[in-house]
Amino acid sequence: MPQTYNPQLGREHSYPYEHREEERDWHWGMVINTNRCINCNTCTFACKSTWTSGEGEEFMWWMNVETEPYGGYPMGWDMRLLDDIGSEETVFEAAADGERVRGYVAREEEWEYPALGDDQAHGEYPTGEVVESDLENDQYHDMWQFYLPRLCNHCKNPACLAACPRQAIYKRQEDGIVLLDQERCRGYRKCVKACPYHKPMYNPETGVSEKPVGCFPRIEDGNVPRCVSSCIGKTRLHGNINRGPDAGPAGGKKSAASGRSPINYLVKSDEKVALPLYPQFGTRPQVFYMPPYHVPPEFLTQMFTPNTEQKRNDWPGSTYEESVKIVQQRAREPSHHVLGILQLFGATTRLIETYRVTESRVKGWDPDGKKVVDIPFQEELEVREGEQWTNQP
Amino acid sequence: MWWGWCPVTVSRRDFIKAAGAGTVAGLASSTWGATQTVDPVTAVENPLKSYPNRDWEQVYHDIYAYDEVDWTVCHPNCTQSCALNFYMKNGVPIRAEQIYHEEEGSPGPGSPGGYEEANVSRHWNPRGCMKGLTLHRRTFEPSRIKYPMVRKGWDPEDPSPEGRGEDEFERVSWEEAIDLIAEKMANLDDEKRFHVFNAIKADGLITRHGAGRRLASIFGGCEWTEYDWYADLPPGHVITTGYQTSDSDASAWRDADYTIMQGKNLIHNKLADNHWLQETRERGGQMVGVYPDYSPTVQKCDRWLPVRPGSDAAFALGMAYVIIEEGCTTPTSCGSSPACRCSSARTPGSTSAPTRCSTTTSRPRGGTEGEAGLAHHGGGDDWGDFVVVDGDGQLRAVTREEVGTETPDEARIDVDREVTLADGSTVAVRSDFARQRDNIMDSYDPETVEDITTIPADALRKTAREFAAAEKGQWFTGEGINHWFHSNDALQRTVFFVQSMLGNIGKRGAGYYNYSGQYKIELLDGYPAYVNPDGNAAHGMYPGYAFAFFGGETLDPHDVRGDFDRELDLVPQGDADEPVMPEDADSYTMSRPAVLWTMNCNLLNQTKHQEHVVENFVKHPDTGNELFIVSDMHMTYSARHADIVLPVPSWLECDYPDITVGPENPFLQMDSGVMDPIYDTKQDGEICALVAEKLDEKIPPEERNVDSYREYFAEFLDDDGDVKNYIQQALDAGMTTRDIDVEDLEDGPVRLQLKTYPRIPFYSQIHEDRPFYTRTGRMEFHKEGDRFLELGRDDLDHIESPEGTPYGRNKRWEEAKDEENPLYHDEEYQFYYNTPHPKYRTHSSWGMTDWNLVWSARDFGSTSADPDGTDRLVDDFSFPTGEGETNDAPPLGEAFVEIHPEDAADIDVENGDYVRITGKRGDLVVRAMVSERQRPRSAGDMGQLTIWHGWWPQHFPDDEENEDSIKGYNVTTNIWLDPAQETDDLVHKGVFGDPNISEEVEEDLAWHGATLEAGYEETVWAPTGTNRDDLVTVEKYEEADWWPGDARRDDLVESYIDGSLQGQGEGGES
Repeated sequence: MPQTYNPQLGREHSYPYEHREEERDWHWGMVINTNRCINCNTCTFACKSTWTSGEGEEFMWWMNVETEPYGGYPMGWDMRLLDDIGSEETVFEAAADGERVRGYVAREEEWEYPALGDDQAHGEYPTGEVVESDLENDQYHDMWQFYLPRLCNHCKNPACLAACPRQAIYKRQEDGIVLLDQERCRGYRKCVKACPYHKPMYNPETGVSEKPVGCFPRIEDGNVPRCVSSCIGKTRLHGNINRGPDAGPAGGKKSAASGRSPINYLVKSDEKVALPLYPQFGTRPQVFYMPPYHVPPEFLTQMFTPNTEQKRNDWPGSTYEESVKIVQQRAREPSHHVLGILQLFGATTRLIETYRVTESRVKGWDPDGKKVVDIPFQEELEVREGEQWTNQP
Repeated sequence: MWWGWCPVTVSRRDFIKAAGAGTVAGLASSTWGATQTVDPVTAVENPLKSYPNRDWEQVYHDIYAYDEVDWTVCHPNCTQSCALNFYMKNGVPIRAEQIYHEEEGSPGPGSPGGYEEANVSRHWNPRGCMKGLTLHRRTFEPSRIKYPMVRKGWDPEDPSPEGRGEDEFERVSWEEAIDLIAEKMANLDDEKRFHVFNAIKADGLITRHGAGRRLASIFGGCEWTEYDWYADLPPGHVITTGYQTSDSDASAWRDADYTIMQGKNLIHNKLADNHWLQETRERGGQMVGVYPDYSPTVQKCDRWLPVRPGSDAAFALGMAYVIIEEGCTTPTSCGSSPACRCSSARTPGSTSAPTRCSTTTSRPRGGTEGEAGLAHHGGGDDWGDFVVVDGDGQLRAVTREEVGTETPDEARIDVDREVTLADGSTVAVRSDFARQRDNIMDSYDPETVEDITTIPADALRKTAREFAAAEKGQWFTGEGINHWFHSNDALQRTVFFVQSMLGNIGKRGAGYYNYSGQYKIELLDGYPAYVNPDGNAAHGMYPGYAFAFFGGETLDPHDVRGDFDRELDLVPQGDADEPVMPEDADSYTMSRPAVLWTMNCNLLNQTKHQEHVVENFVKHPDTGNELFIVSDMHMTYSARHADIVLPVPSWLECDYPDITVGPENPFLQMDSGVMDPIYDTKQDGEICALVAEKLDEKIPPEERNVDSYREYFAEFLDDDGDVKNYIQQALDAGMTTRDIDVEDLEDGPVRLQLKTYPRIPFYSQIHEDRPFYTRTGRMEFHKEGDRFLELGRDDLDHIESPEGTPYGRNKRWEEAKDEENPLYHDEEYQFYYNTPHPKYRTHSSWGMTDWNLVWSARDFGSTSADPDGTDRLVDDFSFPTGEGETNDAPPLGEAFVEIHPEDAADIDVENGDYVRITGKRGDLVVRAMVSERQRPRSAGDMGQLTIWHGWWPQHFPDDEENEDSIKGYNVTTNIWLDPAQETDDLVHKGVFGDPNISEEVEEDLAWHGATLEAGYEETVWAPTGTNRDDLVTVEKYEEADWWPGDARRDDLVESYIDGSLQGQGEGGES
């Protein structure tokens, strides 16, 4: 079986298909700041109303927000796999004979309750005490919850694609979006079983499986996905994860900024603030999370790092737990540059390819080099002159 | 075509079946477990690199496609108002998206009149939550009312209320329905017995329920509001500042350095603009939460201080103690103190007859020598004047308008001395600050506050120090606290005290906010031009709960006021049969509603003490209520009890546009429908217009209150009428809107014209030396009103609840701490009953919308309605229709109560079991969710039970022991009325207009010449109905033989949580 280098893990592992020799110029990616998420599930409803309001899709929530640690759709999806596979093995390496991916089929009733555990916290009631965090002194909330938006990761090593016996799942050449061919699928549900994130789902009315489409009709029009544009918490930024520091100006236009895309900066620069969800499963997910900074790093290390004893990738710190703590601290007190990028979250429905942060403003350009964002750090305070004006009319 | 739901071809009934039970059948059938079959497959070499035939992708383009976009504004009673684009296919909305105002290429409203012109940034984009995104599903849901209906048991000649809620309905024409209503109105002996009840939040003002208020005004009737009923507003604001409730535009939140969140679950009930708050934290801001439970907002807080329910005021008093003790404020003279504008030297009521001191008279009521008082308040009152002590120790007379830099030099705020009166006698006086400080330093040290609140003293100290050190500190308190009998004023008054000491008033990023209640109608200050035309104004009926006293009364009005010693003088008032109001409350109107018409609210579902209200008013023949009309979209609990039910369109179906504003954002917006109505509905404004027209036919001109009722609604009725003329007239009459052209609103939001953007409360008070809306022109902490003095509520103090406490009831801590509340200790009612605002509903709105219901029901919400093996006691939702039949729908979710694991274990309850909750006013059966975030009894004596507010009765199971019992989350809540808030003498600003400048503004403004008001005013001054003071007990009702999935029962969960679940090695068993 072909081997592939996985930079999230800092090592090679097997994957059923050969990768392209060169990375795409443009690849679908997303950053989610969990610290801003308020669990309104507007993204959830936006996605469902756009894509899965048909017959047989009633139980399908391609996008959902789970409250950690008790939420889960399907219930306990990550616990099952964490229990089943050690962190030194990917789902591909751990596959049983005759299968390409190790996974499990969630039972019907585990899909039935999308809001399971919603808003529930974990911990003992702090009788006579307080709950407090102080990152500099390694103190985190000992009673906690946080909101985890969950969606298809449009992985670079997609497990669904690897598992499909009909090769009905493919990665689009132009943007890396992973699609499930609705005409070719015969409903074997190998993808439903294989995806560690449980985002392919089977439609019992049509007899074929479906999976999230990355809002490709919107991407093709230069718009961000629905879960991003609908996010009133401004938790998300979507764009080209592959655009690095050496890239020229957007659209080749001199007036546009060059260099990294804003999400590439948050994920891949020296100031990394966003981490993938369960990278140890080996699928190279392309949704990255700014971790909740009040939550104990032990839990987050299991969730957002390779979780191995030996640290092999290029993340900051000497252990993965240290990586998490550093990233938590950066999320708590972002630099001016990161704060600037955070102003681009929810700033426009248009794709932001490149950006520039100045002292007081942040600008963004679309892939054609057209300016689509120009936003100040501060709202201007306006005071009307004249004694007839009042704030208590 | 299975892609995309198309309501044109699928009936709602069928749809819900498909959404619910259909899935069960599907999942359970063999298709789910189908065996694999092998088909010939066209070779795909490497799908990671390329794919041969992608034509099929058109399938998703087709799903995404729409043929039309139209926009409207979602504006439920969350008070936020968000503009949304609706994407239409064949005239049917298939989805909604928030509008990115000003964005090129974004369909919907944009420039001009948009953000750029308004000088706000696009950072306000996007607005609109998951509720707005299901407005179209709500429009098609099975609870919709399809045509006008009359209760079969209702006879206009002999109207008996006894069949309400049980009788079947009969379909009638609009003509018949209008005629029945007008006939009843025309035959009233007293027009005041026509009552309109609606939520007067700042929306639906002209062509929706606001038209009902206009009708009541010209007819001479009464109006009630949700304020008098549901009662969220914070009276401590009015007591201290004379202003309804202070708050700022959400964009100001971001500027805070320190935020205290007390009892406010802001991350769930202010969704659209919440990001402004979250962003404070990434800009270095700190946040501390004060809650009895782990409120979802706690996850955003740096520190959570768990507080005993009902002890909130003590926390704020402890904060004040530390700040004073540590000299974080140095209130020595008025010139240098940041509090100088807020707390000036005044004489206290240190003698039996509290007076303000004057250098010339001993008791200067009525002003000086019969002239208008120095205070320039217009004279004719008994306010008197007051003095300050200047730098030389001399007494100087001060008017209420001499504030800020106009206050005499070096005026001291810390005064404790004697003064000589005109008759030569001396009297001891203290300034307001000195008086509050002394009381606080005597009674509220952090250790005592720890005893009261259970908040550790050191954590309180630390929080106070940090808050004092912050340059800009903001403090939010929640409306849940407003529902506590005492906290609602004591806490609020004390927060203002702290904020004034720290200079946290009138600055962007600093302040004291509530954002509760639907109160910002103020911002549309030209509204009186529409709602009170030609000086006609409906009577503000208060107290709304008084109707519970008309007839089958079983409540003791003393008990309702916490007056257990029967010391209050209660006197007859209006046409009440029983004495129900304290003395000195003549500004309150009492009138029996012979005709009661509710619009835009689910009155009976949201009422406290629901069982009492239904049995003693709604169904009781002695109340004299002959006609109960409900206008609604849905067959709500209230509509089910109506005599006449009138269906109104959803916002998507409205013919007439209307305007809306909200307290967190600076925008005026206008909405109108996007689709044709699917049922025989009419908008409230049109219904009122038709009734008005019919009244002209039935009432001879000489008996009318106005020349013609119809004329006031002509724009609705005339062929060439245009209701936008009403909107324009209201805009023209308001300072905030006078330059706005209604046509511009077609293009999107326009910013209101206020003193500042962002709107900062009391900006002019602090920066321009204008008085607060009190007698003294200052913030007032000590209150000299007679009732405050009688009840011992004149100073800042924590007082234990009249019911919800383990300690002595209705007493200060010093007395209460050694006493026992017998209800708690002897009868073992040891839980307090918390009903916070829900996230996926707004009150009861969206209560039956499928997706919202599934998510509202959390662990008990399932698209499959009733999965195999469940043992749900809720088996059906039923909505009566006019054919004598019901529209039934499978239950997608049910209500639940959260209870701490310890307390659940005590009664042998596991997650999913049913429990019975019993209070002094009723009981209910509901499913239990075992929840670690709840406060256990062991934490501070009082445990917490939480039921999200707004469930419909259908969401609760029948009680087998009493199948006809009244169902709902409000059966155990109480009606409490605080007599301190039933007084005529509290001075405040009216809803509309700023008395400080009312002479300066043009005469054509609605509030030109407005003066300060005193006594009752709707949405400003009246008791908030409190319900948090009720104690309940809980017992097991029935064991479920089915439970939802529950991660907490999973063997793996503990190691999952501590991060040790995954082994390091190659753990897979290959």
